Amino acid sequence: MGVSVSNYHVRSNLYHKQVYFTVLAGYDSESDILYPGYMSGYNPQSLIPITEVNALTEQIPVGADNHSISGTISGFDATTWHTPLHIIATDNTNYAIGCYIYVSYKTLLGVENYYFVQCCWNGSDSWVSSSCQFSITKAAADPALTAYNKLPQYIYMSMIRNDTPANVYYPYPMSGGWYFSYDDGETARTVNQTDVGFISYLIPQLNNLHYDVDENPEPQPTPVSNDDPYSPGGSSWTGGGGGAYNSESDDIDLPDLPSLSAAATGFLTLFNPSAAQMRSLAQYMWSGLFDVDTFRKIFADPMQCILGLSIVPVNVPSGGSDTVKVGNIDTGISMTTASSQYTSVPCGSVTIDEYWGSYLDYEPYTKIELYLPYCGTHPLNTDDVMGKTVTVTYHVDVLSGACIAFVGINGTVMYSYAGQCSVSIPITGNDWTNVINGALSIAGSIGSMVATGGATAPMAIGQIASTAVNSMKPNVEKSGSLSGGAGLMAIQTPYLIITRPRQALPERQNSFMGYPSFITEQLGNISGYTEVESVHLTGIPGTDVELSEIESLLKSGVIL
Amino acid sequence: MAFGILFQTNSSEKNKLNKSLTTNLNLTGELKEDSSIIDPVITIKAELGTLSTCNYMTIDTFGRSYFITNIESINNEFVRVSGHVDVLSTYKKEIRRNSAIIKRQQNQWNLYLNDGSLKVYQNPEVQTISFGSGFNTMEFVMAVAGG
Repeated sequence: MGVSVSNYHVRSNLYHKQVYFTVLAGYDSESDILYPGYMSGYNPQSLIPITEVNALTEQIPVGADNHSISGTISGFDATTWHTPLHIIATDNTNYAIGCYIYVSYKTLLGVENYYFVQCCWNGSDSWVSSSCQFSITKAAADPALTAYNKLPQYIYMSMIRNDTPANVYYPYPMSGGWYFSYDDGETARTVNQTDVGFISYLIPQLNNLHYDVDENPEPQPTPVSNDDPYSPGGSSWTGGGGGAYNSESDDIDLPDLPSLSAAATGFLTLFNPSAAQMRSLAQYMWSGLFDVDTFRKIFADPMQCILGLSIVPVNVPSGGSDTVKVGNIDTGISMTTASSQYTSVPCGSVTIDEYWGSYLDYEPYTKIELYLPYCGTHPLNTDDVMGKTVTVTYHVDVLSGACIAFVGINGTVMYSYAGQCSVSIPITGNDWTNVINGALSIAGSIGSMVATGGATAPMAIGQIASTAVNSMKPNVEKSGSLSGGAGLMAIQTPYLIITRPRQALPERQNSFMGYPSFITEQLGNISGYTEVESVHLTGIPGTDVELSEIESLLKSGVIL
Repeated sequence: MAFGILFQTNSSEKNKLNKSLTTNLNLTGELKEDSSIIDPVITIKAELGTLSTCNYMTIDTFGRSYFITNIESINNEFVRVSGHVDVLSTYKKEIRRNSAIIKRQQNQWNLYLNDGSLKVYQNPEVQTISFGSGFNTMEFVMAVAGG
């Protein structure tokens, strides 16, 4: 139904936009016949030839109301009722002009902030054209219009029919399009009750449209050739930029120690005995004071009550003191209890200063490793830590011996490594076996020294930068697992290992070669050896050969 | 046309804009032959010995300075001098008015830019820095069943 518009092309530039559109023929749903430029509900068999097509022959002022123009567009094909209309329109609104081809005479109206509508009415075999204007307010209130208004550069045609009572217009639903309604009469005019026409309007989001005249429209652009086998893969486009440039960072703080502890369950008691207290307990357990008979009424083995005994390299948080009760038998031996299963061990901080203040201070030229007690030696990303303060803090579980080393960079935790820092003391035969097996496992891991390939530095094509030497050397692990008893015997303080290249600098290298710059500067403001990356020479009254030589010399190096 | 040539000795680098020049000979006369202003070849009446120490010349009529690329003795009286325009010295004022993106510079640089021309030795330097504190105690922990 109605008239569809296709083959339009929109091209815009800074100041005006050009719109091409082709108005196809109309369609009568009653007769199922395609008609050129005209619809009639009463005489579907009639074909009304279009004798003339308006062209924009005069400048329509912005804001003009009911301004009509007439003329002839060359190239009109009366057989197919196709013609491209080349309209250049500029105004300061977001709406362009609408143009219609239809019988008799056509008017082109441009009203600021209005849709441009044109109707063709058949009133008693006489053709009358009238113009309809829709207020933008009304259009904005219509959901369909509002939605449509947002669509870029579409041309929609809808059909209205004037029926009884007079001056009331009814929308025709558009297949694939949209329809609107209006009922105040102020925006429509007609002269009879049987008019049928079609309304076309151009509702692109075009800015700065001005009315202009062009009777010889440019041909529509040639469609993209399909001969390119890559064309289905998509075309290139310009883009990029628009980044948020947001480098705000959240502080990742050291976590708090866990709030729940095994000591709070009541199912066990953590003691922090001294060596003398341990000896007293051992003596009691093996003495006659220990009522084994009473104990055996509850437990089979007294050692079942001692869940674990270990050495930890931390100050166990004190929770007061209590006597040791073995299987509910009070030994009378008082020991300090542990208030919590967890404790923290701060190891201090080190600020890593740049050595050169240059690219050599960073990856892959300078390497930094961190030795952590009970966790081993781990590489740090030099770029993360250079010029920053590195802080090491341990959280230790005195019950299991598990520890975690948090490595903070300028107050933000960026690395964390787990380890095992307790040494189990065997108090049963099974304990002894487990301890030995654990020690053997640790010894095996210490024995393995792994060499891994180093990261390579960026190199110029065809050139091996000597500064890349350090980065091309293999990385050798400086320690394996250092947990348990091995860790207790190892170094107890963290330390950094910084490996940096040793420079070979000839005297006054900068005067012979300069150093990398990459700034934009007026050549008169700098002095000394200079190589230019890019220059656009202006204001030099030399020949082309001389200019080329100047540019070549600037790029190869000159002394300003 | 009156024509003057300053025969000079340049002691500066060839790629330097401001040349340090010593004038050895100042000749004036008339240009009687065709000559390129980019690569002039000029026959002059002068003793070879006088010009042999010259490596530079300035021709105001051409508005340019030149490197002397060749000196040929024609006979006892005449010498043919060939030159190539020194574009840096000739247009140094205009060159200095231009701006450019600088790739390498003697005095204005950013050392954080990667410089592949810097050499290093094969034996790197190793530095260790201690944190100063760590695990400095050992204590027993005994877990006993029951509260």
